[in-house]
Amino acid sequence: MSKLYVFGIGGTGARVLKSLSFLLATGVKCNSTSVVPILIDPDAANSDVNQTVDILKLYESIRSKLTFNRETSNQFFKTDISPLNPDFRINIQDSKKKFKEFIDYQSLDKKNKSLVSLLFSEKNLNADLEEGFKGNPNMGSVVLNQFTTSKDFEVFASSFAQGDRIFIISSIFGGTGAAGFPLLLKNIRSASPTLNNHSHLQTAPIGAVSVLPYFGVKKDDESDIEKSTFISKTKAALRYYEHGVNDSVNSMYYLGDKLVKDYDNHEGGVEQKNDGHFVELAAALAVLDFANETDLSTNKIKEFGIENESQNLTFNDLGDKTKSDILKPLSKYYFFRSYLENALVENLNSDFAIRLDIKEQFLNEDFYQKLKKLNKHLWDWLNQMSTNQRGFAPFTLNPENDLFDNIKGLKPHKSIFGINGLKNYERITAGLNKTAKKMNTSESTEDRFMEVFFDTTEKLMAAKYKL
Amino acid sequence: MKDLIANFYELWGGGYLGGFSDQMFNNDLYFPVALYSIIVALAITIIYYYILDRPNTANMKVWMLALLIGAIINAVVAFVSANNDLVEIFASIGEEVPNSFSYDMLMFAFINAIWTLILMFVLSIILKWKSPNSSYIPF
Repeated sequence: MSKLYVFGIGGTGARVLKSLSFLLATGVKCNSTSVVPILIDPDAANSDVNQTVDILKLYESIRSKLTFNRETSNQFFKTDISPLNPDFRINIQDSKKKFKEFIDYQSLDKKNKSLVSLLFSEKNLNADLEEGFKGNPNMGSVVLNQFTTSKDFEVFASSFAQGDRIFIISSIFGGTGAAGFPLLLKNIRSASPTLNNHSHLQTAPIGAVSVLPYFGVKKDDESDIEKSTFISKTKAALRYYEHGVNDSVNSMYYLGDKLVKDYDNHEGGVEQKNDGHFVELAAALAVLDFANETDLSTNKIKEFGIENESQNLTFNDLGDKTKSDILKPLSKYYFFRSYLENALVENLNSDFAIRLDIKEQFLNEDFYQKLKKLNKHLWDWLNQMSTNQRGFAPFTLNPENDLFDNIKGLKPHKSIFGINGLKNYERITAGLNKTAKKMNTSESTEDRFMEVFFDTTEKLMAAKYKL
Repeated sequence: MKDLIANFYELWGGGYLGGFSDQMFNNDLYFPVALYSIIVALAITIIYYYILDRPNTANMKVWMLALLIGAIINAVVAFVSANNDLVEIFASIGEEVPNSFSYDMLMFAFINAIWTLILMFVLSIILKWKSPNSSYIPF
């Protein structure tokens, strides 16, 4: 049983963890038996972080109702997501202060005050830490340096076992991620002997993704966050990473894109709620690439590329490996979610629903309600990615034609006769009826429900697209 | 066998229609109607459960429509078959079919339709199990 501890630092870390949760929900392959997401962000009100926590909780709850053993063919939600603590976050101590209070500025002598003034602006000193570091890694590197003494970090160290892996997600052009990543790495590689399993931590396989600028922010004179500093901050950090980071990790992933879209300029808090972006999906794939990597004996630096330069990517624009990793799981889940949203209620009298005891009462239960909520988040994410720049729009999300025509770039096999002559949701219902007849009805309703949809969509992909 | 089939159509005496029933029994006219009716009922039931079968047809409305079609076809078969055979029989002795037989033929057609409905219900229960989409129709 190997676990993968995934640290998501700052807003980008949270959004990548969100993408990772969705990929795992669709059943994208992950060789780790369990993923332990750990969010690090002092900005308690950050919407991106809070939404990710919601999604992780939904995932955990849905997964807890499912059984996975040798006979289980269902891969939806296969990978266990387990929390280190109930809110999936490392709580930063003293983060409810102003920065100057945190460093005890008032008690410094005149010389030290002058030094501090050299390193931090007046605005930095008066900044409220609860709102994050607003793109200032110089503040973050001071505050985050103490999280290793937190109870949550001790719990992490205690639960870490030989064979487990660590992955760190951060952005290089903001405040929290840029500051937190090198600190976290340093604190793991030189784990204090007072921590349990410190020797395992020091030698642990570590992967990391550093997300280079991939979006901008609109100009706002009131805001501390300024797009024009992104590139210079990135260059400075990369210079440091070259010697201070790259050699300390087993696999280092670099990702970025042209600054195509400017988001509204929010320094943090509830208003920081960026749309899902393809780069975050690619970063989540880096996590999985590391989890599935068998040879970690040498240090590797990896980059991500796409096959075709396009402003609106589809599956055919991705590289072969990426395409083969995500096309089938995402498409299957697309059919699954679409059926649940648009056809399940009308088909509760269908053969499969009666046979598997899927009744209206089941749709009102906690399991289904949470699945519906998670699916709504996933759908929003797909929508956001499709309208973002660079966009990733592999599906038609508001279809009016046959459902099977909606995977862009794939031509479905059509027939006049037999089951493949049926269209749209009726074709899926026919597939569900056929699959349900061969299923083991001794499993729980939740298991049967997921199994019948997984197996049916698997067969649909083969019958319709030869995949 | 002849008696058994006659009993079904004459409802063990309750549906005995006098001269019409005598003609049907004596000339052995019940058997072909029964045979055609069983074939029609079986064919429609098989078509419903295994050929037309699809999720959109797997409901009580379509099933009842199938039964109704079977009943109508067999009512027509009964009426036409009895009428043609009796016209021929009476013509062979230089007579016309009595006028009262028209009502009797309608009754015979109606009874055949009712038996068709019952037969198709029984056949549904027997044949539904292996149907890909309709194995829970009618229940």
